[in-house]
Amino acid sequence: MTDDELAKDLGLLSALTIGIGTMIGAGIFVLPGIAAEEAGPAVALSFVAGGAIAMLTALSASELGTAMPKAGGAYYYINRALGPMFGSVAGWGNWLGLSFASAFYVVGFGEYLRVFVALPAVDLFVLTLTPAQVGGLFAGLAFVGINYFGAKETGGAQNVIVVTLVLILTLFAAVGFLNADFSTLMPFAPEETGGYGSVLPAAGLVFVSYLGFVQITTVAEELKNPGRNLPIAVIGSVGLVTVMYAVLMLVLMGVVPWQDVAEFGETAVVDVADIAFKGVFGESMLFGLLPSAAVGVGLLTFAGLLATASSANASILASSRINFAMGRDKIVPDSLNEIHPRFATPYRSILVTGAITVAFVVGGSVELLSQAASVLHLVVYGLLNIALIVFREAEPEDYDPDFRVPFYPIVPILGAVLSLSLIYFMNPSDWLLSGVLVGGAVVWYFGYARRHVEEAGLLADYLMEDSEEMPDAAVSAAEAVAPEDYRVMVPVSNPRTERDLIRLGGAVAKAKNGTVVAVHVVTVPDQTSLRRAAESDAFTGDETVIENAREHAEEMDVPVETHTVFSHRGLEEVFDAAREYEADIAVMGWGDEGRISAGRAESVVDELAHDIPCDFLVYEERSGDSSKILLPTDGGPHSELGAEVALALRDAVGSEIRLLHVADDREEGEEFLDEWANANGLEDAELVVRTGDVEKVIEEESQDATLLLMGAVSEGLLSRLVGGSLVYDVVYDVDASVIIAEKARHRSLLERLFG
Amino acid sequence: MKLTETVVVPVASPDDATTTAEALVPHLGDAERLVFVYVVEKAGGAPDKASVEQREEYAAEVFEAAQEALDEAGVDTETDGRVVYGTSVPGAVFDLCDEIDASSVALVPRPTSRLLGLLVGDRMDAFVQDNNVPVVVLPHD
Repeated sequence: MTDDELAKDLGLLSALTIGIGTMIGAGIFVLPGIAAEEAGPAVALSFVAGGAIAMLTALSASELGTAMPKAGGAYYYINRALGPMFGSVAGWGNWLGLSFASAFYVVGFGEYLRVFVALPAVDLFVLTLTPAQVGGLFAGLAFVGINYFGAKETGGAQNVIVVTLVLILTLFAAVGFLNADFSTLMPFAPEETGGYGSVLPAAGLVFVSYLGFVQITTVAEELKNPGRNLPIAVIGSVGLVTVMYAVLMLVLMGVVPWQDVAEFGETAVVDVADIAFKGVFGESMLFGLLPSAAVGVGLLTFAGLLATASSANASILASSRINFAMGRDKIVPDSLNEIHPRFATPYRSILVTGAITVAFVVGGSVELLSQAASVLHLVVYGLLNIALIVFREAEPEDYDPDFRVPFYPIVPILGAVLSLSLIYFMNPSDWLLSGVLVGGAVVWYFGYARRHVEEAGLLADYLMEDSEEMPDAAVSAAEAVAPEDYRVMVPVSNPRTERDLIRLGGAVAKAKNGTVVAVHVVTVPDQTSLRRAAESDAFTGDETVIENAREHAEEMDVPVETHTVFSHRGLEEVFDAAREYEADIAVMGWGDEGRISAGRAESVVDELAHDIPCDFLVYEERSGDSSKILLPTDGGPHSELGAEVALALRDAVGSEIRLLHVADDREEGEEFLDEWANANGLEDAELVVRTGDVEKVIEEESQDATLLLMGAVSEGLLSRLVGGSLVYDVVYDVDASVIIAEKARHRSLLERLFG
Repeated sequence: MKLTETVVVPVASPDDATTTAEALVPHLGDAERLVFVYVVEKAGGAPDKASVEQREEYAAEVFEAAQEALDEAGVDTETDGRVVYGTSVPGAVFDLCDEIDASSVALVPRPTSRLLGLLVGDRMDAFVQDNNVPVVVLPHD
C-alpha cells in the first residue's frame, strides 16, 4: 500500500457510521418528550422538515467536501469562500455549536445513566445540579479524557456501536408497530399545541438531531476515495436518519398518546419500550430468564447510553479538527493546536472544548442546550450554502468537485434561505444567541484575527478582480504613465549551474532596463506541506545559492532581488512564483534535475489547461560561450522573443548573430528574412537562407555556432520537453548551447487543444 | 552485505528527537544514512486522534529538532525524515525498514509509567519482540 492509502483509511461504512452515530443520539433518545409536547404527532413532520433542510445543506457540503477533502469541513469552505470575517463566524459558530451539542449529548447520557444508577442531585449553593447534569459532568470528563489520551481502541468500536444501535431501534420499531394503535395519532396536529403552525417551530427544536453529517466533512482528509464515499455517506446518513426519526416518532405516539410521551420526558423511548414489549410478549419470560419488559427497557437504555456517548465523543473530536483548521488560518492562536508529545493528541484544544462543554452542562437544560446547538449550526449551514454559490461563481482553478449539487443554484439558495429562516421559528432567546455569536465573532475578527490572517476569501478576490475591469483607455493611459519594471525571474537551485542562468537573465534584464528576480527553489519532501516548510528552519535552503545569485547579478550591474520558494518538484511552483513575483520572463535550465526533467504528469496537464504565466527561456548550457549565435526563424512570436534575447546578448557580450531561415523557395525566403531582420532590429546580422530538411539544416549550420537560439516551434514547449516529445530533436544533437524561447500568449481553448 | 548502512530512528516528539539524536551521536559507527521516522498512528477505521495534516506538520517540527541536535554535534551524516502511517507504531517502522532496506533500528526507550503503559501500551516490548532488523537500544541519561 502507498502512504496515501495508509493515511486515508476510513471506508464508506466508517464514514456512514460517523454521520449516523452522531445524529442518532439526539432525536430519538433525548428529544421525543419535548418534541411531542411541542407539536403532538405532527412532530413527525417536523423531523421530516428538519431532515429536508439538512439534506439541502448536505448536498452542498458533499460538493465542497469532494472538492476540498481537508480537515475542518464547513469552517474551511466558508473561510476560503467568504474570507476570514465570515470564517470567524463559521469557526466559532461551529466550535461553540458542537460544544453546546456535546453538553446536550452528555446530559442526555446522564438521563440514561440514571435508569441504571442512582445519581444524586448536587447543590452548589448558587445552583443545583440535577442528577442528569451530574451524570453528564462525569460523562463529559470521561470523553475529554478519552480524546486527551487518544485511546485508539475506540477505532473499531464506532462501527459496532452504530450497527448495534440501528438494530435495536429497528427491533423497537417493529415491536412498537405491532403494539401500536394508530388511532391514537388522531388528531394528528392537536389544537393544544397549535395545530400545523407548530410544525416548523418544532423543526427548529429538533434540528439538533441533524448536526452529525457535517462531522463527516471535518475528517474528509482521512476518507478513502472521498469523491465517491463522502457524498454517499453525507447524503445517505441524513436520508436514513430522517426516515428512522419520522417512523419512530409515529410508532412512539401510536403506542401511547402524545400527551403521555410528553410526560415521559427525555427517556420516553424507555417507558414506551416497557409498554410495547409487555404488549407484544405479555408477562412471559424472554429466553426463560428475564421479563420481556425488562429486556425492552434494558435494550433501549443501553442503546440510549451508546447513542449519546458516540454523539458526544464524535462532537468533541470534530471540534478539535475545526480548531486545527482555524489555527492553520490564524483565526485562533496556533498554540491552541499544540500536539501532546506523548499521546499525539491536540490536547489543548480538547481541554478547552471540554471546559466549555462542562460549563454548558452546568449552566443549561436539555432544551436550552439543544436550541443553542441548533441555532449556531443553522448559521453555519446558511453560510455553507452561500460558500458553495461563491465557489461556483468565482470558479477558482483548483475547484474540481467530483460531486455536483443538482439543480444549482436552486438547491444552495433554498438551503441558505431555509436554514436561516428556521432560526426565525425558534425562540427570541435563540435569535439573541445567534446575534451574539455573529457580533462576537466579528469583534473577534477585528480585535484579534485580522492582525494575523494572511489570506482574503475568494469572494473578495473575485470582487476586486471585477473592479479592475476598467475601460481600455484608462488602462492604457495608466500603463503609459507608470514606469514599467521589466522583471526577469531566474529560478535557481544548483550553485553549479546558476551562474549561466543568472548571466543570461542579467543580459536580458540589462537590455530592458529591468530587474533580475532570483528565486531559490528549495525542494522539500512530498510529505511536508509547503507552508510548513516555509516556517521551518530545517528547509532554509542553501544560503550560498542566493548569495551567488546576488553576486553574479551585481557583477553585471543589474538590480537584483532574491526570494526563496518551496517546491515539491513540480513546474507548478515555478509558474506560481512567476505569477507571484510578476515576472515578465523566466529563465530556467532544462537539464537541471529537479526541475523540468522531474516534472510530473500534472505539469503537462497544467500547462495545456492554462497559459504559461510569462515568457520563458529554457537554457541548456553546453559550451559556456555565447559569442556566435545561430537564430533560426520562421517568423512566429517565439522567434521574435528569440531575436530580443539575441540582441540582449550582443549588447552584453558582443555576440555575433547569424539568422537562419529554411524556405521552400530561396528567393521568397530571402525576401522574408530581410524583412524580418529589419522588423526585429537585426539588420546587421548575417542572413542565411537555405532549403531542405529543417532539422538537418539547423544541425549543420549550428556546427560553427556556440549558441543555438530557437523560438519554440509551437505552443506547449515546456510540456513537450517534459514529455520528451519536442518536435525538433535537433536541440539534443548539437554541440552548441541551446536556448529555447517561448512567448506567453493567451490561447483560446480550441488553440490549447489543437495548437 | 549492504551497500550502504541505513539506520532507521523512530522519533515521537521534538524532545524525543533531540534526546535520541544526542544519544545516537557517539554510536554512529558505519552508519551512512540516518532516516528519522515519525509514525502517524491510524485508528484503522475510525477518525484519528488528530488531523493527519496536523500530525504531518508536527512531524516536520520533530525532524527539525533531530537535525538541529545533529548539527550541533557536528555530525554530517546524510539524514532524512520520513512520515509513515500505520495502526501499530513498531509495525509501521519495520515496514519502512523493509521498504528502504535499512540495516538497523536505533531508539531510546521512553520512560513509561505503569498507568500510562496500561492506557497507551508499552511500545518497547513490541519493538524488541517482533522485529525484522536488529534493534539497537541506545543508552542515554
